Amino acid sequence: MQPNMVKLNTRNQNSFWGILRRMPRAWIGGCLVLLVVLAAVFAPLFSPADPLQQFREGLSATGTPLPPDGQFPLGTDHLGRDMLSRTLFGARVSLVISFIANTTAAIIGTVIGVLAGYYSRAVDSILMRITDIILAFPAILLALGVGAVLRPSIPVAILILTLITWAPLARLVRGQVLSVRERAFVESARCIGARDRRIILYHILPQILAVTIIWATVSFASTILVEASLSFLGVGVPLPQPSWGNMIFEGQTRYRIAPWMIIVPTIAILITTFGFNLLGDAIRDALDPRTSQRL
Amino acid sequence: MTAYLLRRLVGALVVIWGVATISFVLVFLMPGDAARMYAGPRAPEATVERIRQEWGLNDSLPVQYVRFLGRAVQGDLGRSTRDGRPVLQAVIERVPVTIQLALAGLSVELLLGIPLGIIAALRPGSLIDQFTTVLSLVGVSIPQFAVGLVALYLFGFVIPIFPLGGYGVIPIFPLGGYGTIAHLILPALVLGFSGAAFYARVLRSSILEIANEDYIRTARAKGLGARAILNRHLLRNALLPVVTLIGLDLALLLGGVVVIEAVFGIPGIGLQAWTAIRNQDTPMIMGTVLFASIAVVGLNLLIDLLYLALDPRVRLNAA
Amino acid sequence: MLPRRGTFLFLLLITVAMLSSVLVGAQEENILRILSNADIRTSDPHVAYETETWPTSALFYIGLVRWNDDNTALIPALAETYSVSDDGLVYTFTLREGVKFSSGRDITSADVKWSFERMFRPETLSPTSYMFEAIAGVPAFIDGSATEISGIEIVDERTVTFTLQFPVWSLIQRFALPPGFIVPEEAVEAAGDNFARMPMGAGPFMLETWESGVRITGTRNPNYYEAGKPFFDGFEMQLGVEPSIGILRIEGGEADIALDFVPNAEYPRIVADAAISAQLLPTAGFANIDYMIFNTTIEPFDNPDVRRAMNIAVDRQRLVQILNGRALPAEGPIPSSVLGNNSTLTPWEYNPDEARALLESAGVTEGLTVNMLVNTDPTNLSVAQVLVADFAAVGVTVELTSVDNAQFLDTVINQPDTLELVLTNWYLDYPDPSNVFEPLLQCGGSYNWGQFCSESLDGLFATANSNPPGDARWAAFSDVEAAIVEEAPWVFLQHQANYYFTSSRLLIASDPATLLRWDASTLR
Repeated sequence: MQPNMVKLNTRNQNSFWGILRRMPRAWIGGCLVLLVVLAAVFAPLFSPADPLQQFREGLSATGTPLPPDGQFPLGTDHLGRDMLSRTLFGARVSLVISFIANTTAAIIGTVIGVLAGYYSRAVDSILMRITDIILAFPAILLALGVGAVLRPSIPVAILILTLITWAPLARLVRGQVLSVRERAFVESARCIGARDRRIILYHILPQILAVTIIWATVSFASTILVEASLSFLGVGVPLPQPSWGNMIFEGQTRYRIAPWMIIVPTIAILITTFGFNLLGDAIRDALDPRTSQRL
Repeated sequence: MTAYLLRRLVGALVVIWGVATISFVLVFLMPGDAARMYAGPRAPEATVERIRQEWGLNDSLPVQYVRFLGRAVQGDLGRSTRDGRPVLQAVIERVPVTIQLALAGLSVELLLGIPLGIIAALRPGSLIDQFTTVLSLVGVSIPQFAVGLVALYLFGFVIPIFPLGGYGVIPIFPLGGYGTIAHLILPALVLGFSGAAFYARVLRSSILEIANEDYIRTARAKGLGARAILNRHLLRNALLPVVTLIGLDLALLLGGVVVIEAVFGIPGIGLQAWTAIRNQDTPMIMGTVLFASIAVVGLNLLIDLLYLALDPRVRLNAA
Repeated sequence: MLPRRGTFLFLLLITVAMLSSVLVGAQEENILRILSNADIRTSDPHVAYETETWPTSALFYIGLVRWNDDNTALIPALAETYSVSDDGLVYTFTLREGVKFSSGRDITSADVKWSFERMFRPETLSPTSYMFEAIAGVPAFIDGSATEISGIEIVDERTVTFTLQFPVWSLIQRFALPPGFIVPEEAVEAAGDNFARMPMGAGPFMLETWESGVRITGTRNPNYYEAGKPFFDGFEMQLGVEPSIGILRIEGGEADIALDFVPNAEYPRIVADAAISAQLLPTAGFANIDYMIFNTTIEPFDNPDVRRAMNIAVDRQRLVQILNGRALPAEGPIPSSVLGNNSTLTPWEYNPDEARALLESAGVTEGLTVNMLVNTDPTNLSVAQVLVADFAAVGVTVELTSVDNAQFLDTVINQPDTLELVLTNWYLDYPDPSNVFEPLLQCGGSYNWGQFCSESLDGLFATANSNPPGDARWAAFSDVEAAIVEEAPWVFLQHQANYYFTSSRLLIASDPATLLRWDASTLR
């Protein structure tokens, strides 16, 4: 422990933004996220072509997709459509879906997890039973069931993904809350007479924020991929509109004749995941600097 | 303590019942005509109607539900509408295969995830931390089906180290009557690589949090090295969220298992369920759902009990 | 982090496992190694009706007749001779002397009669029994008022006749199909509920083991009616194999053939590779047509001009390109490989401007939005997306609804009024044009999901169908096809050429009835 040395202007340096500004991870992550978001927002500007347009010259004479070159910087797909344009427009769909689904799932999961972990046995029991039911429920069936009742579309895909994602987080959060609840500072807060809501908001939530953010950032990538499996079942983003998920679905079996059909969206997902993860890590560490100190 | 256990058991049964009921309703509501799927599109309507009568499909939802529940409790899960085999037998035959695959996948996840998480935690913010982060994130970001195909192509065909999918039998290792390790390595790797990220990240965060607890500071002050602290004090507690994660992971693993079984041609219940869903084979869907939910719920129960044993604070709270 | 000893043991284990897997996979020269993606749900020829179950039933069973080597005519199989009366009402079969089931028991005409009756029993739940419904006495047998089918008569130990209620000229071809295969009574009784997986017939192989969902093995039938066949000592079928992986296995010599057609994604690569392109085997059976159905009861598709316009709007050459050249543009519903097809017709010529003009004059406004239903088959999805683009270019916006096959069938069969456009395919069971018209285009046809109905066309069809096989029949059907094309109840797309992929050592032929000639297969 450092002795209390007086430093000038300590307040700025140790504030949240101050810490964040000094982390290289925040910058790299931030830039990557910005890159992806800008690509999505300005997709029409950056795309050399209409993502739905099937070019005559986009296929070889025998009808196979073209590798990256000239007119098609990232190659074409099996219908002669430009991969770059589809990736950019796909970013819109995939980012929106994944972001909304994960954020909603994170909120629902955290709320339920906190309530279950903090409150009495009865509340805990009921909430956890519901969570367990969703957890034990085969995701495929859930996806098909919902997709069968409602026509497949982007909002439906978001709904399905949210349903699948919230339960594991709820359980994880509950576990964390159970551990945190017994810690000294919470006990003391209760002793002073602090109200439940205050305890939850100011003492417990910050502790579990770490887990939630980690989960959300890792889950972000897997959600995009789950959307690919939804396409397998016919309840993903309806074709021909591109999403990274259904681009992977269409390219999967063509890994030998046109590997770029899978590689391109996968790299896009990787960049996005990495960026969000770095940023998320940095934010979490800035909130709670202790986690960045060495053991 | 026994009261707690009993409560958890009852809770588990409630969950299984809940899953079964919701599944049944969903399958019932799903458009698709099981009788038509069996008879094929070219059969005349009269034949299809006959099949419907025989399978009791014309009865209302509550009637069919009660019938299903009544039989299920007695152990009769009906017959597959696709090939007429008893569902219970069909599922039991293939469950060991999926269990092997799931366990293998889980092992890979832990074998990869835990070390990655520890390494990343030892040097937070460093290059190694970043590298392990990237590695684990790659796992989550790659599509399993495609990776499976490519892996089989590269390591089964181009460089033939592993068999091209399938599920062989070796006399030396019975392993429940099936399975060779060689056939399971590649599928387990693909299955596990994807999920290792979750474990790595959660463990890393967990370690770093606990690292700042008072008792760790005390150990530090006593002069213990990082390794010793890790082994003696930290890991036990840091692993707790990981244990929870295993419980959740099971449901996710079972989802991944379907894809892996399809790519590698492994005859487990994942593939069976997939076929059942596509053919509206209601008894088989329900049978598999029941089994899967029992497995997940049962294992989560075990995990909760494990938590009880590992974390005294939870134990006190439970009592 | 494992202790050193543990690591060493672990590596040893892996090495042993891998070595053993290599040993176990060692080739047995004379075993036919088959792969299938789908699980074989049944080998019962009266129940089988899928691309993978038909060839499977042909491993164990055979019927009275079969196709010859050129696939041009039917020749006797279990029967020694057969004849059809001039009026087409009586079919007479005489079994070969001493022909037996694989169990060694002689096959008699009583077995033939029992087998056909069994197909019609309600508990058999046969989806294909309708193929023989024209036999006299069948309705009475089905509703229980008769205990036997009066139209099937046992003349003597080896001779049996089938008498029809009315002539069905394509019937003789159906005897070569699995529904016409002979199934022994004692095998069905003995197996009970499990008969689907305990086959016993007169086919080239006998069952050895059946591990559901995993593997089926068989050995040569010593009592097969043709001496010297089958060449192979036995077969091994592995189930649940992903088609792309199956191709790899066959390429590597680990397997001989897969029951699944070569997937779209693999075809261009194989065809371009001189080393393996010879291993592609075109299917002789399953002539087919890809087409898009209009719901002819709703506007604007009740107007033939609109339907013709949409036919003109489609770039069929592009579709062929998308299918890597593996298709022929369709000029009408009858595949060109089937007699009765009109060879003077050509596919509608692609002309988006003319299509637009025609649509306008038919009163279709720009901005017409319709829905197209399609299943999740990847090829259909590709074709559908091309159509969406083509129709968009002439001012018709099409939204795709892609659903799983179960839901697809449920929608088209049970909710036909909700349909607007449907993309689908049809595979012929036997190479006769009636197999296209009856189910698909006749008023009230079981597969006529677009509810297309034209009394005059039905009349034309009935006249054409009354001709026995011969030039008159083919000419009459040619005219029917021309009339259909004029009406344009569908957008006619293409006929796909489907291929099997075989290993370099295997020599096997394809036949229109069961797709693969197992008994004649040999090594090169």
